[in-house]
Amino acid sequence: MEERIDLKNIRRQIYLYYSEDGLVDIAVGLVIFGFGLLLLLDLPAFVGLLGLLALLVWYGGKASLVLPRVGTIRPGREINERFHGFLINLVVIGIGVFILFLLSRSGGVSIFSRFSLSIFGFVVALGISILGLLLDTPRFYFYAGLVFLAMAGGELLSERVTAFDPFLAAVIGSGVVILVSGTAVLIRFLRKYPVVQREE
Amino acid sequence: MARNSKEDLNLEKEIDRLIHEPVRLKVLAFLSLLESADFTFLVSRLGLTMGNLSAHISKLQDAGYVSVEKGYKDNRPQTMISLTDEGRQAFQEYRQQMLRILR
Repeated sequence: MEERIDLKNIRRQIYLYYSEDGLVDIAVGLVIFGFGLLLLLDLPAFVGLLGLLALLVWYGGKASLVLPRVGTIRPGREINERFHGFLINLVVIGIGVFILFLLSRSGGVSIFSRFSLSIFGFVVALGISILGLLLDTPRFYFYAGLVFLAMAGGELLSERVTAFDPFLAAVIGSGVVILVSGTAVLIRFLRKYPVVQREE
Repeated sequence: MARNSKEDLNLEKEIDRLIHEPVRLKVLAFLSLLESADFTFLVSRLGLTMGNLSAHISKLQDAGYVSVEKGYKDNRPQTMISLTDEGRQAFQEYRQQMLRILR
């Protein structure tokens, strides 16, 4: 109880509740890693399942590891409005990705065709940044930068390297980095918060 | 503009002593931003024992500032705490009073 009591700090602690266990990191890392792996294995049809897998990992982790340690909350109006704003942003980004995808496929706009993977990386990084902003968690900006650099760098190197696909290697690599980081955050969380023994 | 000491004393008398206690103030601050939170959440955030927190929650409940709802989730007992309208108003008034005193 030595820390200052101010609503800004309290609000930050509430947002930390959603991110300090590292499960969101693990879910994001899993999607990116899986995306690269499925493309490498030439199984693009299964990419849609990654979201479901990430959701299962997140929900399972919350129920079995997080809730017994830090309990649960029902967010108030302010937090709900912030989450709704985030969902709207995600939908807008999703529509943007879809339009970019169509433009690059049709070849209608040459810059989209030429740098389609970099633009895709930018949009994904934007989504991760918004997640970082929403959860008030700066490490997500690092993930966003990493994913963008990996995708843009991989696309640029694709013209020079032919022995392997640098884009897929960069995507898989960035996914692994986020997964490892998320696991480290989870381990720190498990050490910090023991299971609360009920004595009510 | 400087206030006289009589005015300061009156403001101090107005302070809700029940809320002024740091642990209870923090409980109310958390609940003011949430619809509800369970006991485990408050224990983990405040670094208290269940028994200690329970004593503070009882005082807030007796004053009508919080409501306590006991139930089960995933076969585990769960106690959800939420701020009542009266508690929310008392917390807002406390904030205003503190701002006036520290002005």
